Amino acid sequence: MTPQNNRQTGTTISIRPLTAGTVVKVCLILIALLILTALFSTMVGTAKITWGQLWNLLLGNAAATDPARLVIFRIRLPRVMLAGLVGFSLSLGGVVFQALLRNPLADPFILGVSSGSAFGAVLGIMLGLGFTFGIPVLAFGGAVLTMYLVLVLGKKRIGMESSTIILAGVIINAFFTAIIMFFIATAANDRLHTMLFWLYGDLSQSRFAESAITAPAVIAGFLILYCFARHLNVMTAGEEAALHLGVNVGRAKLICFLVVSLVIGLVVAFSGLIGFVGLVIPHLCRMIFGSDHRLLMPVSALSGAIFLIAADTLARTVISPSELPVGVITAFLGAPFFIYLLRKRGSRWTGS
Amino acid sequence: MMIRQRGCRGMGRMFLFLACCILLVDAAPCFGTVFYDALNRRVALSSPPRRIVSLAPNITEILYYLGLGHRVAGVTRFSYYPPEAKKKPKVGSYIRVNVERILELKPDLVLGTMDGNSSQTIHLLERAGIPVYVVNPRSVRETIATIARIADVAGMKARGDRLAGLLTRRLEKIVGETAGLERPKVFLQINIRPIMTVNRNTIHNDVIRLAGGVNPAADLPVTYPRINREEVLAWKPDVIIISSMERGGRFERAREEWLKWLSIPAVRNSKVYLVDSDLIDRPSPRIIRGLEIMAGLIHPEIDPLRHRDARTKQ
Amino acid sequence: MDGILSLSRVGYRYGSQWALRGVSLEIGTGELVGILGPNGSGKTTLLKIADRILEPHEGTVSLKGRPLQTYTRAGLAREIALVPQENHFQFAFSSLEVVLMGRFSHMGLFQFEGERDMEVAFASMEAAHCVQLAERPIDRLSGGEKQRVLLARALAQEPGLILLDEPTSFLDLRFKKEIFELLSSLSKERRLSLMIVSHDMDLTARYCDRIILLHRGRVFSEGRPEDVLTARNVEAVYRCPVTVDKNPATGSPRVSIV
Repeated sequence: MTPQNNRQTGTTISIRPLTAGTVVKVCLILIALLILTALFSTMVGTAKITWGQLWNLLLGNAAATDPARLVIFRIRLPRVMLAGLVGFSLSLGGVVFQALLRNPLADPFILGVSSGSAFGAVLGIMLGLGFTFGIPVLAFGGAVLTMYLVLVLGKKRIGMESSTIILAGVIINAFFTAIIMFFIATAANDRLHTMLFWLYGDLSQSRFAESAITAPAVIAGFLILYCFARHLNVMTAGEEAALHLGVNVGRAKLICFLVVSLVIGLVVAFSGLIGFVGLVIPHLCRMIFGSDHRLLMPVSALSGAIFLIAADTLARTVISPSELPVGVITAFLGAPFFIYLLRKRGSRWTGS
Repeated sequence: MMIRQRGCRGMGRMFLFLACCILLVDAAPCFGTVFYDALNRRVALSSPPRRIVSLAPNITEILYYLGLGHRVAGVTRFSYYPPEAKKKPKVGSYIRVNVERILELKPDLVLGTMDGNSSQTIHLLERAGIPVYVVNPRSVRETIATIARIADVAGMKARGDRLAGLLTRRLEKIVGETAGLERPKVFLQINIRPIMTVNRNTIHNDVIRLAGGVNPAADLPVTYPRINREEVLAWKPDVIIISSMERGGRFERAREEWLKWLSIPAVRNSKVYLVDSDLIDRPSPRIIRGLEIMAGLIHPEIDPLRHRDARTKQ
Repeated sequence: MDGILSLSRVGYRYGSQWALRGVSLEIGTGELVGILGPNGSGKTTLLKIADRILEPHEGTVSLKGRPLQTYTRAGLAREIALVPQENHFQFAFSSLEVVLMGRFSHMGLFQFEGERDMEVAFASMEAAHCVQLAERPIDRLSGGEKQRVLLARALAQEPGLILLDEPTSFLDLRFKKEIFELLSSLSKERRLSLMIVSHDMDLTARYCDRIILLHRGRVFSEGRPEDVLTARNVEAVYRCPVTVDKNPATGSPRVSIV
């Protein structure tokens, strides 16, 4: 941190606020880490693949019939990419919702997007639709439906009153969960396994097409949300204070809510429900990097991507040849950490 | 059902009358017979059952196969084979049986399975005075034995033994034909997403084994393990069987999905097949048909006529 | 005096209860106006209407001649700032970062502060005597220190009018005086208009150019401190017998409870 000299009085203080340079530097480090994790993940698995082989493959030097090629490009790489995109979105959504709702327990699912999406997906599974098109469309539709319901139920005069919105989300969650329970209770065996696997997160059959569809949405969503990073900083002082300081709180909340819901809805439509990422990663990053959202948002998102790639790698190797749903891994890693956080900091969530 | 008959002789009527009385009293239980079911429970029936409730779809199939369809009083929800069974009154699903509905139907025998129906259901029915006979076929041979047992309980022992004999002959034919042959690796996929297969504790595995194949997932600890596609690649199965409960649609797509993985011998040699799951996952008479079909797919050299997509039911 | 803020027959009700009715007032450039009145007289509502947190049900509010609604949120923040009564900070931003939040309305599309923003922030912290607190996290400061940082934040907005909601309620005697001195000098030096809602009659009387006495949502009396703070007025509004005399040291009206 370079010392800052005040020209008029000559007093010196040794901190200065966040600069674009710092943000870029930290992000570059995290991106490098992300790439390393992704590469490592593609190397890990049943078929043994060495660095040399991987390098050849990526450079396009391998024979077309090399079996490792199929494994890397058809199985592992699409999976790693989707895991990265999903982790990125969930973590980003968590940061934004925690700031918007000023609630440390907020994750992107708190406002019911998860159960609406789950309802759509489970309905699709019941109807025997395919995972290419039918189920993701219904899952996304379910997310949009819940988003709409939450807005209608939670909107008040000034904009969106936080506690009302949270209540609306909880009620909608409960409602859709009940319907999902009904489906589960009446499902035939083969559908049941598929439903349960989806409800805990299933990245097992990811394809490039899925990443291709979600990537632009995720990036666009991030860029839009980043424009509100300063707004989120100011909003931490309280909604009224933010209004006094010139933030159009109602508009910021609405846009952020819409963008997060749409991105999460899309991402969850392909991956199923993966919990704890949107809850724990933002807190961890806040502990290390502070609460300034201009840094916290990209850092959280990138960390979420790294975390989920790692978790998914564990999910497919830890009880090999069998597989666990990735949501189980994130819960196992996330819950104890969260307990530790609670004990250390109580309900205050302070930055560096 | 055997009924001992006593003829009345001429002299000593009193003695005989008394003897008859004693014997009649003594013989009262002999108008009926006592059976021991798969759980070694004592089931006493006073006469051949006329109103039978089946608590599992495979039991329903067995009853119809034995020609006892007219005696079936109630079935569970997914008993849709043979088609006539769909019209029978429903008593709930095989996991959650509706005991009240059963009582309404006033059956004189209830046939249940060990893994599906709960012991609580059985106790409730017993307390209501309804005889419950539990079966537990875990393999193909046990299935044939179960058919014979149910026939026996229903008072059709001769017919049951005859039909069981027919099925056994068909079974032994397959076993004999595949005996000396090399065993190809057969990967059985029972769910699309996630990919799931079966281990040795399943009847599917028994079918594969009897049909002359070997299941690479046999030794996995979980009965219906979820499998990574990579794992299947590593196993390099010679045959892939996708068991489906429906026609085409998702399962066709699942098969197409496999066709991309040319490193698998099964794909290279065009040995990815769809088989109706009813034929291989259910301990019913049709499992022999399933066995024959599977043998034909795994060892086409046995009977070239059997080498085809086995989607039809029978 | 050109008016900065002008309220004309403003009325606001909560449900069916009118918190303010027929209130008209004007704040001129460089004026230090004190708003007095018992609890429930509508003081806080008045502040919220002045900064467009609430929209009046009756009447109009104008800023520099234009109706308040024609300003965007950010535009309004560049003209009017508000120092709240208290603030609970959940996040551990440093005081400097808190003051820099005052620059929000000036930063437009840029996400990161520029040179000018830093200069203004510094100057504001100097004016509010809290430069030495710059690096300390805001949630570790005392009441008085927090107030000064919040005042610096308001100054960083470079407004023409600052609204203060009971700025001295939780402060010790010495700091009460300091804040009012500070506010007074700010209004003189920078031609800043200040509207202060306060319970502190002594200090308000001493430092304010004008006092507005509210009673049950209406302007009961308005004018110079000595004209407004008479025994009759105070008793009528506060329903408590008092005597009013002159503070021998300062000459401003001194209200004492009987």
